[in-house]
Amino acid sequence: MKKFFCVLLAGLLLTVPLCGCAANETADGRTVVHFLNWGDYIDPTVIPLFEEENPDIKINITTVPSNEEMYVIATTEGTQIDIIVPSEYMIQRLMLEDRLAELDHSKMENYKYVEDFVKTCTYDPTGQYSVPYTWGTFGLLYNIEMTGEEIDSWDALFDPKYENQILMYDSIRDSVGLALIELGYSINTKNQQELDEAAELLIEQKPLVLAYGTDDLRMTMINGSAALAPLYAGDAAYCMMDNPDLRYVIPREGANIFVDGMCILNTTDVYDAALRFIDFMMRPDIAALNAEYNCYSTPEDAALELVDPELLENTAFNPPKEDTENCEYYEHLEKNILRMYEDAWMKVKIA
Amino acid sequence: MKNRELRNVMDSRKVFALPYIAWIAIFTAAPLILILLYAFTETGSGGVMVLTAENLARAFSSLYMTVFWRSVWMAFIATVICLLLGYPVAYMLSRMKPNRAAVISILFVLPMWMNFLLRTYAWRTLLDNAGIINQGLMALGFEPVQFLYTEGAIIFGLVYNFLPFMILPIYSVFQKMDISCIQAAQDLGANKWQTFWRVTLPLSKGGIVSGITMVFMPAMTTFVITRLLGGSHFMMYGDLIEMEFLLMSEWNFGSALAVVMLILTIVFMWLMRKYDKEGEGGALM
Repeated sequence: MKKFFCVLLAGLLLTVPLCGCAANETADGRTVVHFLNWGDYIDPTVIPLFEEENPDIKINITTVPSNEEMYVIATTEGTQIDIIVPSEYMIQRLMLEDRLAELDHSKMENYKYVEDFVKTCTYDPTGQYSVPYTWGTFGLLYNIEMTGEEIDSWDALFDPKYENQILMYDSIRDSVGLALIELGYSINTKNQQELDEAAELLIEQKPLVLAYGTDDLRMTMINGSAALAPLYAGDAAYCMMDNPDLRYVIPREGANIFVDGMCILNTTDVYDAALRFIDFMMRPDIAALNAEYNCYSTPEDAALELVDPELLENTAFNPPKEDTENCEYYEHLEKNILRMYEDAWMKVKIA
Repeated sequence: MKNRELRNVMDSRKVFALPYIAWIAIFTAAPLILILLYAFTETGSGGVMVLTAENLARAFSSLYMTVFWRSVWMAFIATVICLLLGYPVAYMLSRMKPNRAAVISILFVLPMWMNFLLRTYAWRTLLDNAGIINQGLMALGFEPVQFLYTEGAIIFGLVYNFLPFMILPIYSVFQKMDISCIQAAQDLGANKWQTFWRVTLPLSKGGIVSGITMVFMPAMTTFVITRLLGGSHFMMYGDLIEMEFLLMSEWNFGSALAVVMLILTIVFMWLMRKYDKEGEGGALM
């Protein structure tokens, strides 16, 4: 139901830019920059701070719940959106479709803080079209009281001794992906055989699984009703703050790593103002504010020095660097390939 | 001149139907046409819509029919339980003093004033392994029971949510039932069982039929209960349609599934109506 309303809302939002109601300038002559963001993904004090320092710019935030909807809104003819923060596979798609404006690094004072991280971003290794805003992994959250031992492998999710203590994430690429990793394949495979094996593995796992879910898994893990769940690091960090028995690990077989990057659409009329805002968002004190607010890791080492030390100790928020080396980004997949993933997950869900 | 025309229109009273017709056209007819359009087309290369029966053929393939029959089965069980629970309740309600009956029937309807999603969420926390019910069981020295994420939890959720829809139509039939028919049966020497079986039950058939319709159809198409109480373990037809639309972005195939659902609904309604009409002869169930 919630999802339904999100779609409805997205549809309504979509019509707003089409009406041309949102202009590039406010009545008092300020330049308006339209920022399409995820819900609850920016510290609420950041925008007022920016507007205070830049009195000639007004930031207008709209939120969406998924990359796919972000894509639809950002690419609809006549869109007023200037800045978006899609995930890496969507950035890749937007780059392929030539919809992003090149970022002028010489005008961005704070670019130097993300420079090192950008080199690891295989989808845009020169930061030409995007600068990382947050990053995280899709790893394993477990309750050490219930497992009785430390866990460092996806194997645990398929271990019969944890029958009815395992939660699974109900999403296509994440779940099929972790089965692919467990089998030693790439999470971007285009091989039907490998996907069939992954589906089989997940069907075999089904009797062990207590429940499939998404956001509701957090609650189940916090109140200790299940021992293991694959989760996004940000969600995991949130759970760990509420239940000290919970541990987060990037399994040794590897995991998915994701980056949400800030991009400017090439349809923008306010490129300079948008660039100034992105630059502001990269300033270490601002990046630290946002990281503390949304619990997702920041790509800036300089910002890490400023966040709450307690958060730094959280392995979901700040995992050991060497653990992430084994991780893989999602690649944008063509529709017919995606279909193979969908069918694999469908088979699992119906079985 | 104009005034008279207006009056003519007003007189014919058709004008009052206009909002309703507009409502139906926008919110019932248009979506239906869109569903049919999506179900029988596919967006080919270059964004061109192509006519195809492939979606429908796929919807009838064994993979998806498994889900279909599972939904029918679950909805059937839930309906039977609702009937077994609801019928005696409706009967008792109708035999109470009007004031008391009114209070008690309000108690049945009261939970419906709260959003159905909220109520189902509430059950989640109640049935949870660390929830109140299990805590109570443990306090009494019992082992905790795995209520959530089972087939039983889904059936429970369905019965809980749809029971009022079974009670109310049967209750209203009982209320209108002519008590003298029952008295006549008793006068003519029928025992309690015979009176019930040959008089009360046939007379309440209309309520039973509409109760079954009102429970079975929504139970069959529900999609949140399986997720919240069943942990998405057991997919029902509503889940399947929702998943195709929202997770897979397969609007064409999702619409085809919706069409299959629609066909079932029509067949079911037709069957029920036929039953109801035949039933008016006074034959047994």
